[in-house]
This record gives sequence, C-alpha cells and structure tokens, in this order.
Amino acid sequence: MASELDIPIQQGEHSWLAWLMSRQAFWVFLALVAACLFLTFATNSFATPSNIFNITRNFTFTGVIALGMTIVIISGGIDLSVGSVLCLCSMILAVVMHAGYGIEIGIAAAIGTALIVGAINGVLIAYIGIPPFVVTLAMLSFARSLAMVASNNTVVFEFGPDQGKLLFLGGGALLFGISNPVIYMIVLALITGFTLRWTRFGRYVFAIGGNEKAAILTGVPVRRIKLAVYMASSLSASIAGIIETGWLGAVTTNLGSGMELQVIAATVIGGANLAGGVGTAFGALVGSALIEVIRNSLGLLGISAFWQGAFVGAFIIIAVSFDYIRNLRQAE
Amino acid sequence: MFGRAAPATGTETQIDEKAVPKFDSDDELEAFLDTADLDEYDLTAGERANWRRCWLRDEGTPIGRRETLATCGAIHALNEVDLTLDEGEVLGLMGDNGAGKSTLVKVIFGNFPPTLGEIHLAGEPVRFHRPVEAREKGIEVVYHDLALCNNLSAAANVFLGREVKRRIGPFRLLDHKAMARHAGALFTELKSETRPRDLVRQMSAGSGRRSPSRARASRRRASC
Repeated sequence: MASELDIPIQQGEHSWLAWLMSRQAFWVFLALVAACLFLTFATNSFATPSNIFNITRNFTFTGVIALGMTIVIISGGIDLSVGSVLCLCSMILAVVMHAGYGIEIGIAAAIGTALIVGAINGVLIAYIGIPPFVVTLAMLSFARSLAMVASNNTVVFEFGPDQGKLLFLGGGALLFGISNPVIYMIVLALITGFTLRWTRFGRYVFAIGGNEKAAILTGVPVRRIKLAVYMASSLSASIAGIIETGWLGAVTTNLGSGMELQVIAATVIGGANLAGGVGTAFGALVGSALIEVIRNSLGLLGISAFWQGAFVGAFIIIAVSFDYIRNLRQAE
Repeated sequence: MFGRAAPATGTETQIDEKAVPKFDSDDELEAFLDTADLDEYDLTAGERANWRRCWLRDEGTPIGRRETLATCGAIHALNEVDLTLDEGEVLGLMGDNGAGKSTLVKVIFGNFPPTLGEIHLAGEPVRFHRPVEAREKGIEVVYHDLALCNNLSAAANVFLGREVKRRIGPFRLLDHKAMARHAGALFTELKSETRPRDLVRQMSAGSGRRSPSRARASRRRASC
C-alpha cells in the first residue's frame, strides 16, 4: 500500500532536518537567533532582563495582528485596515470605560466593533466580490475616521473605575516576570497554529488560497470561510488594541497608524506567501520578533534609528528570495 | 412566448406562466402539437424543427418531453439536448471546441441549472443549484483541469470538501492518518504510485497529478 511504504520512503529521502531546512520560517528563526547572539556579545545591554522584557513585549502587538493577517494571506487575500481597526477598537474601549462602565463591557464593546468591521469587510469581499485590497483600503480610512469621531479627536487617558485592571492587563507581568501581552500572544499563536493544521476550517483556508476555483467545485463553503477570515483579522487587531491601550495607558487617534504595513512585512518575512496557500503561525511570530530585534538593536549599537527601515526592507527581500531561489533550483 | 428564458442569465428559468398552456394528458398535448399554428409562436428554426420536443414538463402535468437548454449570456451554449444514460452505460461525448461538452457536464453536475428543461435521475426529476447537491445524489466529476490545490497533499485533495474527522473531547479534528491511509488505498486501487502525503505542487504533471482527482471522484461514502 502506498501509505505503508510512504513513511519509510519519506524518511529515506527527506529526513526531518531536510523538511525543516526547506521552510522559510526556519531560516528566519536562525537569523533571529544569530542576531540575538551577536548582539549579546557586541553590546552589554541587549541580554539584560529589562531589555528582553521590553523586546518581547514590544513585538506582541505586531505579532498578534500578524497571526490574523497570516490567516488572511493564506486565504489569498490581504487586510490593509488592521491599523485603523486597532485604533477604532482602542478608542471604543477607552470611551466606554471613560464613561464609567466596567472593563468587561469595554472589552466586549471593542471586540464587538471589530467583529462588525470584519463582517463588513468579509461581506464586501466574499459576497459582493470587491477585491480585498480595495475593500480594506476603504475601511482603513473609514475606521480611523470613526475613531476620531468617537473621541472627538482627543487623547483619552482616564479609564474610569477599572483603569487599574486595564493597565495590569496590558502592562503587568503575572507569570515569572513575563510580560502579560507575551502570554496572550503565545496562547493566540497556539490557537492559530492548531486551527490551521488540525481543523477543517484551517484546511479550507489553505485550499481557498491554493486554488479557489477547485475549492468551489469541490463544495468548500468559500464565501463563509472568507467572511470568517476577515472577521478573525479584525478580531486580532482589536485584541492587540486592547492590550496596547493597557500598556500605553492612553489612546490617541494616530494609534496603529501605518501598522498594517509592518504587520504585512512581518508575515511575509515569516514565510506567508502573498499569492496565498502558504503560511504558519510560528512564522508570523518569528517575523514580528525579527523586526523588533532590528529596531531594538540599532539603538543599542549606536546606529541611527533612521536606518531601521532600510534593514526591514532588506530583510523582506532576503527572506522572500529564499523561496524563489529554492524554486529556481527545483526547476533546473 | 413559449417558455424560453428571457435575457439569458443561465441561472433561474424564467417562464411566462400565463403564456404556456398546460395540458391534462399526453393525448391533449399531442392534439395541440398536431394542430397548433407555428406562425403564432416566435420560434427559431431549430425550435420549429424540434417543435414536439420543446415543451416543458410541469409537475404532474405532462406537457412535453425532456430537453435541456443552457444559455450563457447571449450565446446559447446548449440547445435542445436530449440525453439518456442507462445504469452501467459508458458514453463518450465528442465534439469540436466550443461545442458545449464542458457546459453539459457542468449542467449535469450542478454548477448551474439549465435554463429550460429538466434532469431526471432514476426516474425522478432533480434540480441542482450547487455541485454539493449533485454529489449528494451520487454524481461525481473529474475535471480536465483536475481542480487540485497545489499547496495541499494528495490525500488532502482527495478529501477536499469531505474531510474525515475524529472527536477529541468537544473538538472535531482532522484525522490526517485516516485520510492518508484511505487515500493510499484508493491510489493502490487505481494502480498509481502517488504517495498520499506528497504535495501536489511537487508531483510531476501527468499521471501523478491525475490520481488525486480520480481518487476523489471514486471515493465511496463508506466509513474509512
């Protein structure tokens, strides 16, 4: 039987090491480890507990959104509205709590807003058929404008009776001194990874990204899945917004501005293919971590912060080239 | 006037109910067909030539014979198709490019319903709005472009749309092992060398890629 011989043949031809080495996320992870090792020896402030604490906490906001973005990208779409949704949901949270409601109501309102926004994106994309780039580009403007309306374009820094809870949610450290957002990010990454690999929904997302026509023909409920995917993306943006608000202690209307591009960069560096069909939750985290380490290290090495963008851009090209070079070799 | 769908959309049949006379028996229909004045009706040459075969069958009221007319936009892809397949029969359908072979298959498989006419399966009329409905009645298709997802494994493609799951607590998870095993069995049955866990993207084009499509179509709905 083909499947009986299957595993010994695979082990002979492709050991797990070969499988690992064929994954872009693995190489980016190696680059990350190498960078951290280099920085540990080149500077005396990188490997300190407080710096590690800062780095891990800082990349959670991008990392959480990158998880949602990875799902969207695997399905063959894109979501440019995540930065604005982060701002809108943070603003809704802030305004609701400022008005005196408890943190649970605030969080429910923020998440509810995100699900509505995601549903609007999803319906326009999946059921009406407008391209994702256009829909989410429109939502990018729309959502941020709503955030300004909700707050009358002011800074909100008073969160009513539950302010302490919110600040602990985003800025505290419950377990072993690990920043709380890091815990949320790891849990969400595990959930995302599990969903992609072990649920029917996850497989359908890959199928839609790989060959949408084939998915339709074989009876996959494509439109429903796409709707869910965009709702998940907005949901991840709202979660990131809630914890970032807790950490910052204030919400301004330019929160998350430009974040969508950073998130997309993180997912692409982590191995998600913009054409669809490929991506991992681990890759999303690794890509986000690498960008944050670059940002952090430039300061520690005394290099002007203006070089940050150059490094991120270069890394995107290098990380993505890996796949292209490998495909070139296979074609030969 | 007589039941041709108006500005062809290829989706729902639009019949001018008032204009189509109904008959209580085949005899009445025959009498009508014999004596009707064709000039009264706005008929094409083809419809004139197939006058008797162009009438719809309504539920319980025999007013005509089977016919399938599928229109796509302003072009009539299929016109007056009368096809009968018996159990166990193998039929080869041949035609030029653009003759309508693929369209006929898509109509049978439920991608879109015929503009006029009906499909009968084992004597009962059926109407499919989605491929899933056709599949539930036992109609399977292997497409000439194979309809495979390159980024998934062969086993994943065989089971696309009808994954095997197992319960762990409150969760229903994909049973990768069972799907690989069952797909492997199907490939062996088809005498193929395809390995279930291989990605389609990495297979050579040709027989390697055809197997997942054929295995998907031949998959029985029995438990694994």
